Amino acid sequence: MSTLSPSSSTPTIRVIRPGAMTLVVDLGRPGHGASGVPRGGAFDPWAARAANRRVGNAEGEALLEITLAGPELELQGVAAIARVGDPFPIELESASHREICPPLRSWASALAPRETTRIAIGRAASGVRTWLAVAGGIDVPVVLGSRTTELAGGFGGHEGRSLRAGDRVSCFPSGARAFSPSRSEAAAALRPPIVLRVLPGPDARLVSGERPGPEALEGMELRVEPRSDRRGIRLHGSALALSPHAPLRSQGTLPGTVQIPPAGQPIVLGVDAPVTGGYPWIAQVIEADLELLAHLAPGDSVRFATVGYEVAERALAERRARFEAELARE
Amino acid sequence: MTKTYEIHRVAERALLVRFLDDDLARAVAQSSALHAFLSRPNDSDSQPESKSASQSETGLDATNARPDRAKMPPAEPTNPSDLQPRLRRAEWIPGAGNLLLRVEETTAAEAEARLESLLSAFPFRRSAATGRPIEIAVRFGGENGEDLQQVAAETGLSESAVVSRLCSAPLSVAFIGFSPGFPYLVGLPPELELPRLASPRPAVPPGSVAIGGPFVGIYPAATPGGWRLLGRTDVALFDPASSPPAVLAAGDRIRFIAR
Repeated sequence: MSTLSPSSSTPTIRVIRPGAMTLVVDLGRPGHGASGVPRGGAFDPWAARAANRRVGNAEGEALLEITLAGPELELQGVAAIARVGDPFPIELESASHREICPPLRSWASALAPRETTRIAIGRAASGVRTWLAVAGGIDVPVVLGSRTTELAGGFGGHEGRSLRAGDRVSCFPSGARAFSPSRSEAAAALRPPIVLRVLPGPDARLVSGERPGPEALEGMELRVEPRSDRRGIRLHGSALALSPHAPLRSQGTLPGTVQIPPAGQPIVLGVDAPVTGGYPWIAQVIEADLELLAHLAPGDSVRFATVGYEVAERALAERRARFEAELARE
Repeated sequence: MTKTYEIHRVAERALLVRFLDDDLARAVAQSSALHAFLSRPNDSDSQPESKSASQSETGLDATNARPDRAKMPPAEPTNPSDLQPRLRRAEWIPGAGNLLLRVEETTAAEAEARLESLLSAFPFRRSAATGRPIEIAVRFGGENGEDLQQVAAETGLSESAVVSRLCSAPLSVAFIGFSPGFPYLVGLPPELELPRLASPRPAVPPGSVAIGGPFVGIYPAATPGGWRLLGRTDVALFDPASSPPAVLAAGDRIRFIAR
């Protein structure tokens, strides 16, 4: 039996201020759709993987997903942190170290594990979400194969909910690893309109009007509504007319499924969307563009462009190559 | 012969199989039969065509006894050559008479070809709900089912007639959706099909047995809900510590027992 008290040996995160919504996430919980459990996970898995890699973790370790306004945290025993995603400012302070970091796309810093470090993450300078990894990864129980928070089911992550002031979350020890700080400037901000490339959906034939089918989406000038969240991005613009049809039977859905409810304004489903839905499935965002959904802010201008499967597969291969190239460069 | 299903490529690595029967319960039975076949643990156990004799009625009560999956009847007989290992390793998400397939190690185009060859030989005709028989005890009406009185008024039936028709209906699970563990049951008598509430309740009590359109549902947790509440059960429908976490599965045959 170990006589060490856990508080002296286990790296921990204490939440002083939770921010607008801070969640423990990983790469998701596949395989339980038939039980009504969405895959969930980091809304932008590329950013989560990159943040983990920058602190020497495996890509799938649990980390924090931060939305709109960041938290204030007290870190103990943590050797390094990295933030990747939309640009949020960070202030960091410990007995020996003080750093004020402007909003960058990514940032990583070594910490003095023997000291307590306070970090305050501000508001998004642009976009919505960013991911914060700690060396070792967050140690919450694995539920159905994943540590990610499942909000609708109230399980996973930290007690099945977003973090609150006073919460304490343990992390795995990271061991002695060489760590080099890194920074990268924010990439050129997404220029409006943000273009989501889509494949035709199984209900595309229900779109009537001058340009029937999924191409009708291309003419729409849409804006992101404030009611958007991890379950879905609600868009507002000129309504899309659907030909009269019998109510559809509920069917499985995917992140990136573009549905048209009766009012004609599209909803693009996110990673926490219910596993089934009954609105017409007009189009499907290609895998390579799913990450864009995580960064859409209320008011952002969005357009759709229809593509074929070859373009979609090529775009995904290019995205994978770019991920490795970006990590290698820094 | 007209085609009984459609296969749609819906993403780089996903297919949707829709069963076209106008009758929802029949489409659900076909979808469930295919799902049961594809969910079988492995390819080498292709069983001869026989009905399990050991199948027994399973009751679920507040102690939440888990039905014994080992006693499930064998899936529909099929071509055992097993062309379809990759389809089986995929994730299948049942809907109302349809199945969404998410593949990992192949493309939608390849999976579509495999699925076409499987479906062309699949014996849907003999398909009926083949899942486990399960009884669920329910307290109907009053504070347990706030809408029972209104449902009785709208259907022109007495409250006890509504309850007895629901309890004698041969219900089966079409799919689990909406929220983790929420079962959509088909087989509701047509006279009990009513539109959903004009404005949903912000929080429905957990365990509520409710009707909405052609479906019966049971709310596993306190979520918003627009279905009409008829009763309540103590059965826990979802347990993230179990695998699978949803206690009910597509194809299960459900009978409500009024307490």
